[in-house]
Amino acid sequence: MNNSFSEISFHEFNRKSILKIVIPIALFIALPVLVTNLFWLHVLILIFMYGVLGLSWNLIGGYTGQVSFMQAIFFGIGAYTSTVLSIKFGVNPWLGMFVGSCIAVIVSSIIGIFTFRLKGHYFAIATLGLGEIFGNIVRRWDFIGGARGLSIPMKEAGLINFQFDGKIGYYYIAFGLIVFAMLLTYMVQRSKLGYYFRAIKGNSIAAKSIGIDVLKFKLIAFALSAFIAALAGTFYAQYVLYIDPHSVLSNAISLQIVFIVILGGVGTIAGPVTGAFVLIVLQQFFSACFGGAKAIHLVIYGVSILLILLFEPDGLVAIYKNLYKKVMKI
Amino acid sequence: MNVVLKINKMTKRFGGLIAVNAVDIEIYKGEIVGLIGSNGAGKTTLFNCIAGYYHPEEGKIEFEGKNITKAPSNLICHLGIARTFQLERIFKELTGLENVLVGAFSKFNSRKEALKRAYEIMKLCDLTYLSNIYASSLNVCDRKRLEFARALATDPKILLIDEIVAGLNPSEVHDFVSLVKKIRKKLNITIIWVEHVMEAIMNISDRIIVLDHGEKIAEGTAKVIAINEKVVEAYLGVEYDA
Repeated sequence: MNNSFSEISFHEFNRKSILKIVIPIALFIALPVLVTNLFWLHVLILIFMYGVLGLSWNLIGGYTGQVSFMQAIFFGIGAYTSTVLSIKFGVNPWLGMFVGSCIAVIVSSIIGIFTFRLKGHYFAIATLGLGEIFGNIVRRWDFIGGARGLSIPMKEAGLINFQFDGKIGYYYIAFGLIVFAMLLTYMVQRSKLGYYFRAIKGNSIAAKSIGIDVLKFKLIAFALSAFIAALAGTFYAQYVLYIDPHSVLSNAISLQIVFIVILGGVGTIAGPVTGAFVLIVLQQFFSACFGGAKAIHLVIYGVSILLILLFEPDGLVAIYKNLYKKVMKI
Repeated sequence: MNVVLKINKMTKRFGGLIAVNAVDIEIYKGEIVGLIGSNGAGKTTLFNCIAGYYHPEEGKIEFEGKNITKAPSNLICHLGIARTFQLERIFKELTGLENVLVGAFSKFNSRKEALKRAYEIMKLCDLTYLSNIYASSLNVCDRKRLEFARALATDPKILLIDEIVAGLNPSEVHDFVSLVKKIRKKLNITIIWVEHVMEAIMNISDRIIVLDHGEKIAEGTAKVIAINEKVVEAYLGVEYDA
């Protein structure tokens, strides 16, 4: 019994896998010492931020299979909550970050209760519509800046004020966020929660027949997803110090987040991170090369998504895994 | 004998069509009941009503004295009624063991305990060879066996089996029948089994219930049913010889 039990190939912690985690973390902590170029730091920060957003969408879209196109709503809620609280009421952005995430959770639950009755494409369409509605509400809401947006006044640089001179402070916070999001995903993936999410994605009727309260677990996945996306929203606001509906609430952001995960690999931890890396690097490269023709990166997105869907629907991570297997055989 | 499941004058309609018409059924603890009838007789509808996938318009379903007529299927599973599906609904992106593990999570919150339980069930059903294989690459027979194991992992008191040996070859059918016999003995559960394959159902059932056009037309042991005139006329045909 014991012998055959150990045959089950679940990834349990061992020394090798700890090294696999510790070494990259140490590398990324040391990286700003080597990379002093502000542009490259900026690219890394963007990769981390979009990685966090991708990981957040992955929970509801990748694991639970509910393809939602409104991740920008939660990103925007995070950005707006901390900013409005800080400008109008003098609340510390860190507290604002937490409040923003809580509001995102509440909003996700309200949206979820109504939209999770819809299946497949209909759910996706509803979320697209909701994304547009949220953007329009904020554009017309003067108290929170309307279409002009909000600027965050400069304060004394430091961790407490969530403002830094230069990029290194933001780099570490963004890195902390992505590590948190990956860790959370890892824990979810191994637990009852993660298996229930995947069962719902696999077949919701069968999931119900083995005792899974489908609506409840969809709502949990959505809430977790919204919580993480809102954290990234506050980070963005504090990093750029200016937000408007276009930059934090547009459907284009929602779409980009979905692209990132599909490109990298749906339902994996490495997928959203890989996707963010590739897409952000491509985007920055092309907007640097073609300056004026900024939309060129959108064409690249389209082509890359098409290629991925044609040749490796499981994403870049699957290509890497297959290569790894082949190399190990040799 | 203890009645575990009592169906009282249950009627289920789909618009103008009466799929199940005022059916009374009592199921006793520990028995294997075969549910037979021609296509469209209402067998699967009856199952879906018991499992909470449909809710009947009239009548009452009681499980261990509790009224479960309007309960949703996830709650019914927690109370102790599990099912398999006529067309298997396995989780294709999960491995064999993970499929059963998801079932076991209905009784255990900790991964370790659920994993242990899942493995026990896999072993009991002789399915350990499927542990690390993704369900998407399994054949029909293995998928059905896996679904059976997944249902068992929820630790049911009653198991509803819906045409599980349809489409399997005779030796697979034979294996399945002996598996169900073994499971019944080991886990002491009550089984209701819908099936068209007479070799399987006549062999294993303690009692058989026959439905025709949504009504119960006969009930009794295999021998009695095989010579019942109404059943022969409606379903078995004159040729059948028990």
